[in-house]
Amino acid sequence: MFLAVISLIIIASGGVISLSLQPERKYLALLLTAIPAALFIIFVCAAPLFTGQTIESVINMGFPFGDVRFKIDSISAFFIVLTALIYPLAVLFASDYLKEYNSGSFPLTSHWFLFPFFIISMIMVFAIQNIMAFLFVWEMMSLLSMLLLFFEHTRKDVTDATVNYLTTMHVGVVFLISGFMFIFHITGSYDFAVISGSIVNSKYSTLIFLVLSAGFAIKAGWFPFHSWLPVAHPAAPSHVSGLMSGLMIKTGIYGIIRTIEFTGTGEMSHALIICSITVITIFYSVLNGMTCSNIKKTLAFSSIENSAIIGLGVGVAMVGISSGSTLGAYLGFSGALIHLATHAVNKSALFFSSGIIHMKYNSLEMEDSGGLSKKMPLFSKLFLFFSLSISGMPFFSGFIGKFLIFISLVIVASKVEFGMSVVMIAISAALAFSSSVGAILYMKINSFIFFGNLPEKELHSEHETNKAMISLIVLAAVSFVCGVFPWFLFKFVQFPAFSFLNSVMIIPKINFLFPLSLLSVVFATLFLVILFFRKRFSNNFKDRSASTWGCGYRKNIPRAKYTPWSFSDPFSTLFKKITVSIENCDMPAVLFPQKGSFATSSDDAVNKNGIMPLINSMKKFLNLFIWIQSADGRKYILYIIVFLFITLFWNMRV
Amino acid sequence: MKITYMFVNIAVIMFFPFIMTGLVNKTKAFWGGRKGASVFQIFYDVLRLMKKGRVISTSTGWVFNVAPVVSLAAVLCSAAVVPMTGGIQMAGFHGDFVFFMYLLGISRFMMVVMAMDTSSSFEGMGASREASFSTFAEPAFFIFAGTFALISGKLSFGEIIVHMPRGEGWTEIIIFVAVVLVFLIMLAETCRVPIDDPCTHLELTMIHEVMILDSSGPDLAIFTYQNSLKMLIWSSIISAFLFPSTNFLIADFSLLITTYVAVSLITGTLESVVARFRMNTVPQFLFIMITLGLVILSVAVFFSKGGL
Repeated sequence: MFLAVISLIIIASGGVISLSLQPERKYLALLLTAIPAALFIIFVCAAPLFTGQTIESVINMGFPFGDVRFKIDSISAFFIVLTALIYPLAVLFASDYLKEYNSGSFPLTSHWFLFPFFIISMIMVFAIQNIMAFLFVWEMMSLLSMLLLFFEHTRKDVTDATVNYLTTMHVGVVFLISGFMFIFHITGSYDFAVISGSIVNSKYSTLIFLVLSAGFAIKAGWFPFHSWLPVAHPAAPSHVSGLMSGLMIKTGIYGIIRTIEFTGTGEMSHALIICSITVITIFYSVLNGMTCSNIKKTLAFSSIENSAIIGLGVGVAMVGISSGSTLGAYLGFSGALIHLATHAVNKSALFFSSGIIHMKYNSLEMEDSGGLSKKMPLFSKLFLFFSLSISGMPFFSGFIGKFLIFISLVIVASKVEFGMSVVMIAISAALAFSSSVGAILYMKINSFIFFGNLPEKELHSEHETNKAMISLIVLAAVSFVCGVFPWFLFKFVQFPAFSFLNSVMIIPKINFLFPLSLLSVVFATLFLVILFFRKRFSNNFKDRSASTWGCGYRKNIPRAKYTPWSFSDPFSTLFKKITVSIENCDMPAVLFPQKGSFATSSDDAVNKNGIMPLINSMKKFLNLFIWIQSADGRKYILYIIVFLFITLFWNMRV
Repeated sequence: MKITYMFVNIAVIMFFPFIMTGLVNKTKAFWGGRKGASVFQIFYDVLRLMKKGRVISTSTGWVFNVAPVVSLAAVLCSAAVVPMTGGIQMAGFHGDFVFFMYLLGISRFMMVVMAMDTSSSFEGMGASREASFSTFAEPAFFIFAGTFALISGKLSFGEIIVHMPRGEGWTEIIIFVAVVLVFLIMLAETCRVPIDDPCTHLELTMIHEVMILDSSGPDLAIFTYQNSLKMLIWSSIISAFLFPSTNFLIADFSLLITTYVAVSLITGTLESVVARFRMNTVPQFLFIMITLGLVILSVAVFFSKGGL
């Protein structure tokens, strides 16, 4: 525990030291403290993660927290290690990304200063096991991420997104506070260790489960609470959105896992609620992601999808526990955690990449970009690697988690009764459908940003991206190792899964880890053999180059390229009940040609039909009281006097 | 024993795809009242294309060069987990059907990206359609594979076809429906009529063909072989579900070949008598596959769990 505290102090010191440095050197303070701190943290968490021991200490923090239990068990350790791994890479990326903001009125000092504290707050969320202290650090995490998000404060969409984010997070906190206070009311204790035993079979467990899960689901981005993600991500700086999507939404998953531990891991009704919500989320998010043309918005929808896939794994594990299929439960939960880890790595990398794209095109719209693979071949290869990985293609890391969830669905289906097993197989089909739509999402991003002709406008090539590329390469290496050697990942999730199942079991031999590695060698060999033969046979002739076939048109201009909108059109017309497309047509009304315009964009149905009307009606109601704030000093003094009189009379009443 | 089967499988993967496509073309010629090209014509075509040089579009980058190779490697790899002669897989493991379907996904991913790299609107349209339509085959396949994994209690293709219940009334029915389903998935995945027409010559109506419009020489050879190979792979699944292993190499091999020939003849006949669907009715056809899958699932689970 001592080492853990030391490493948090080291992380914090990075932020403090950065205050005294020049803007372009601030990253050094963070990076040089982040790397040793990450190593310390991984060293500390190794014992809980690989042996299942817990590190625990209780400190009396006084009012209002009381005795605060700090506890790193295997599940916490898993999340903390992930955070420690990605933090230094995010700093390395940010050092390049924030360079273009050095000139201008951006709050660089506070941004660099707050960044380490955001990480600390996340680590604390995973380590604290006391209701009051947990809510405190949870709120700190929301506020710090809000401040980091509010970086480009001059942009209108950034301020809007920040307000939206802040509001949504606080709706979540309302759920959490009411849920936790209800727990306190029942158990009379703030301590997680006391709580988890005492409400499992109480009659309120379902109510507590619903309220707390709703609170955490807002963070995790599950339907219908996902609407902050597609708004916040395009507004945030790329390293912040990388961390928000890679790590922060995982705190929601962490909270849901803890909630399930409190209210019983084997509750079939809770499991079904989680499964159905996540399946709806997966469907909804991929179909909406298809229609977006903003890169970060698309990535945000993909984050929602993946967060829900993780939740589905947890839900299947719960069904497994309640139906007595321990193997299914084990595979489901470890699949969820593996997917969580690989998603954290790949999605942070993709968000970092979107930052590089923004640096090059100064735009996040797919329509403005294209052909980047000709200018930055290595970057485009890395992006394709991460895309294949996150779409769950075999031999890449994202496959393992989805694969395990599929297997556990089939195993669990064989243990439950008729109706449930039909549901389980249907869920696996739904997952297959949505993950193949998810793959199309990445086909689309890759196609429109990296491939095809270069756009007509100039690229900004003056920005250095070397350090950002290093962080991408490190993430790619991690992702590659995870994909090719799945047993390596299994080492990490074994004890967390045991702790969730509440039993140590001897895992029956599951015969797929070795074949997967072997087949990846086969795949690589086949690739090389085909490459060799293709070269061998056709070396009599040299490759000639010519323009793309355009049905007679000789010149292939960038403007003739297929647009992202038309690419996703077959889907958006088929599912037009779910997706919202907005067409702005400005037709010239007169006979003679004048300028007209036509623009298409997409919106989130929940945002459009649910959240926005709510906010608008709230605004309308609050506007009724706008006369109170008159900006008139005399009136304010009057308020004070009136208020003083009221309190005076109130006291005299007694 | 198993080694012999594997060598037979490798030989089948290498040579039979050409013959299958050749047979489909021959059948179409027969119904059209023509003599038709030799059954081995596709093989000659591929050989000829392999020796040619390539014409590469000026719009393309590295992915145009790499994509055909990755795509074929993925499809060949997926052939390794499919049960062929006597239901023997070359590499079977738990959950290989998930692996199989996602490998076809890699192939599709690379082809779409390659088509978009040429920066042609035609190819963009083809890529968009291919990507959209193939998503419906995937859930159907997962329902199918999941159902049989469920009723056999096994997790790999090879074990499923050995251990699945046969010989009762309901098993015969679901095997029949499953074979129809796999046949329909095959039509969708290999871009055959009624979803796509490999012989069409108008760019706007193509799906698969338009994606490889700019591929030439060895790349085109790779795609021709790959598409035929996909057909062979799906037909092998049909064969594995129809005919349990007899443990005689000759008998197993001839059963497999019979299935291939039958599938080719049926496909050819279908292409001669059915017109392709209009683009907007294709999704409806694809939903039929999911419905068939759900029928198999409910019947199988109902009987294997002993009713409600």
